[in-house]
This record gives sequence, C-alpha cells and structure tokens, in this order.
Amino acid sequence: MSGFLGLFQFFVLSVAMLAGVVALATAVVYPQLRPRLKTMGPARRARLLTVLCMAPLVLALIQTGLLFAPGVLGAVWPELDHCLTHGLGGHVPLCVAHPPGSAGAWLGWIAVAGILGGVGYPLVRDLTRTWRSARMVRQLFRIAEPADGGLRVVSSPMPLAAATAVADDVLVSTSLVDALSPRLLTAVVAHERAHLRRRDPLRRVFAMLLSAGHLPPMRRTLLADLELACEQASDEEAAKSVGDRLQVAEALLAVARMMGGGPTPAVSMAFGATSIEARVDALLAPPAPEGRTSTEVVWLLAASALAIAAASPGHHMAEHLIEHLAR
Amino acid sequence: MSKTRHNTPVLGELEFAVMDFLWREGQGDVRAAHQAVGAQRNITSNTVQSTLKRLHDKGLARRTKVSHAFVYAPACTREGFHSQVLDQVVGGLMHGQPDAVLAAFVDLAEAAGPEQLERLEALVKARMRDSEVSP
Repeated sequence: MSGFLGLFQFFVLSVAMLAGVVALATAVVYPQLRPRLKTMGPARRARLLTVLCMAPLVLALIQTGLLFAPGVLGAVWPELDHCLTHGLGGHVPLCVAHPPGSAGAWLGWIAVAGILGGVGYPLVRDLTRTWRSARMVRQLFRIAEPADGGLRVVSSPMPLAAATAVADDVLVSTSLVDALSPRLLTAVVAHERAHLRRRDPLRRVFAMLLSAGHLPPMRRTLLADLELACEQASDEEAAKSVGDRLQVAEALLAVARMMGGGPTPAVSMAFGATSIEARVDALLAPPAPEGRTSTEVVWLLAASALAIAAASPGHHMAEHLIEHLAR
Repeated sequence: MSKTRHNTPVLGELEFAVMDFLWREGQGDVRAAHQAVGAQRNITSNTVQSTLKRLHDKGLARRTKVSHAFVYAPACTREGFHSQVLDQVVGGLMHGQPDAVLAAFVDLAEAAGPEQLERLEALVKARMRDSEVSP
C-alpha cells in the first residue's frame, strides 16, 4: 500500500512540475505570439487558443501517463514487465507491478497537499459551479416557449440571445424579438446557430476547467481571447449564412444599443479593445485567412510521436531521479 | 419561497410536470396529480406523492391537510418562478460572472460607451452607403 502511495505522490508532483513548466513557458511566449494570432482567421485562432488554454494540465497528464506506461503495461501483461530487464535491486521502480518500498518523502506530501489545495480545489469548485449552472440553464430552456425555427423564447426585458452546451435550440428574449427587425434577428439567430455548430459552449466549458494549470492572469487573458475568437468565428459564419457582413455588424450594434451605453466594460476585453469594437472592426474588414488544418495535424502527430518516443527513456530517468532524491 | 438568486430550485422533468398540473388546476391531492401526470408515465402514486413532497420541501408547493390527505397548491405563480430562473441565469451574467455554459450574443456585462457605439454605427452606415454606390 505504501508503495502505491509513493507512486501517487510522484504522479502528482510530476504533473505539477510539468504543468508548471508549460505554464511558465506560455506566460513568456504568449505576449509575443498574441499579435501574430490577431492576424489569423478567428476559427483557427479559437482552435489554437483552446489548445493553449488546456496545454499545461493536459500535456502534463499525458506526459506523466507516458512515464508510468512501461510500469502499467508490465502489470497488465507480465511479458512486458520491463523491471525484469534491469532487475529490482539498486533503484526505485516506477512500476505498478513492483511499486517502490516507501510511501514517499514527507516533504513531498506537503507539496502534494499544497498542489491539490491550490489547483485541485478551484478545479472542483469550478466543476461544481458549471454543473449547477448547466442544470439551471437547462431549466431556463425548459420554461422558454418553443417557437418556429428551433428557437426558444423567454419573457424578459433583457435583450438576450444565447446558445448553450446543454440544449440544441437558440434562446431569445421577447424584448429582442420585439425590438429587432426580421433582417437583424435573422443575423442574430445565424450567429447563435454558428456557436452550436462549432460547439463553442462546450469548448468554453472544457477550456475554463482545463486552464486551471495556468497562472491566473495568463488564464484570464487566454480565456478572454478565446471568447473573442469564438464570437468572431460565429460572426463570420453568420455573415456567410446571411450573405452580408454589414448585416451582422448592424445586428451587433443594435443589440449593444438596446443594452444602453454605460461605463467601463466588465469582461471580454481582448486585444486592447472591447469585444464589440473588435467584432465590428473585423466585420468591416475582409475576412482573415483561416489557414490549413493539415498544418496543425502534422504538428500534433509530430508532438505525439516525440512524446511516445520519450516515454521509455523518460521513465528510466524518472526512476533514477526518485532514487537520487530518496537518498 | 426564497427570493435569493442563488436559491432558485432546479426541477427535474417529473417535478416540472407536477408543478405544471398545480399551476393549471390551482390545487390538487396525490390522486388527482397521479391521474393527470403519473398515469401516462407509468409511474405509481407513491412516486407522485414523493415528488409533491419534494416540491413542498423546495418551497414551491404548500399543503394543507384535508381529512387524511394533503392537498397541494403552488407557493408561487408560474411567471414568478420563471422570473426567478431567468434572474438566476441572466443576473450572474449581468454582474460580470462569466458563464461558460451560456454564450450570449452580446456579453451582457459589457456595456460599450455611447460614443463608442456612435462611432461604430457611423462606420457601418458609411460602409453601407459605399456598397450601395458601388455594388
């Protein structure tokens, strides 16, 4: 049992260390990368930002999993038990079939408690809030009246049009339907349908939860930039759907006007401008090129091959590192 | 029923159906509710009774004892409940609490200044004029 506790300690410390490295690297690189992202098409930018948001935690979990892979495979298929190739004496095994003899250093457990408290607790809190929010939003959609065209209408003085991860319909408020001309309402609904097609609400949920590995200021910036990219990508799809970029820009400004002018924007500031300004400016300009998805696939395959190739040597390096620290 | 934004109860499908019955009829006992809601769902009157009790515990229904049975009535109007649900979802967005589950067309907490809106509207109008002049 103590051996498995030692493995658990190493797992958590390894994930934290690797996530920390990726988070710091992102914090250093992203300010230089941001202007380049601005020139990309929003759909591609959204994909890259989604990956960046999740990078520390996901890469750390994958790489740590790969470090453990030789030890896990050996426990499942004894023929693959790599401990037999180097014997068990003389080093601490990172192996489920032959777990290490100790439960890990006490200092390591203090670090594990700090990590689980500092990152784990906010993650669990965000997960709980998201689950509660999903239930409440589902309830909102349930009380809204169904209307033609896959819409759900709810009685509210707020100019609301929204898409969600928990329903396939677009929600609009009575005040929005009453205030907008059919032409502008079409643009708004087209935008929200684009969010559903792109699965943006689900993307935002995953990005929000899995960006927990970033430093808080970086996390806020990445999530705000991702939100803007998703909005702009849906603006572009809506513009293609209605055949008029200016129609979407007009709809955006009409809804913003309905909310009334006010002081400083509270959220969604990205690229030094409010999201409304950035979105309208983008719609007034020609669409930015989206680039080829094949480039991203090639990068992903190369990174995966590198990670898998590094699994076995990384595993042995980890065992020697643990042994060195345990002395 | 509690008026605080965070305490709006979340109802399941059966709870919704039973509340719908209470709002429609004004009041009813377990037998009436089961006839209206439970029979077509192939559920027992015990299940409907438990549902009514849960609604009572959530503060959405009140009950009075008549002879040996409880008679249930809604503790709030349908519009009042809808208003609370909307307030809970939209209210959070209005107070700058981004909700990853709901993506709004215009961020409700982001209020662009009037000068900014005027500038952008002028730009859009100018572009529309240009496109009319030179199609």
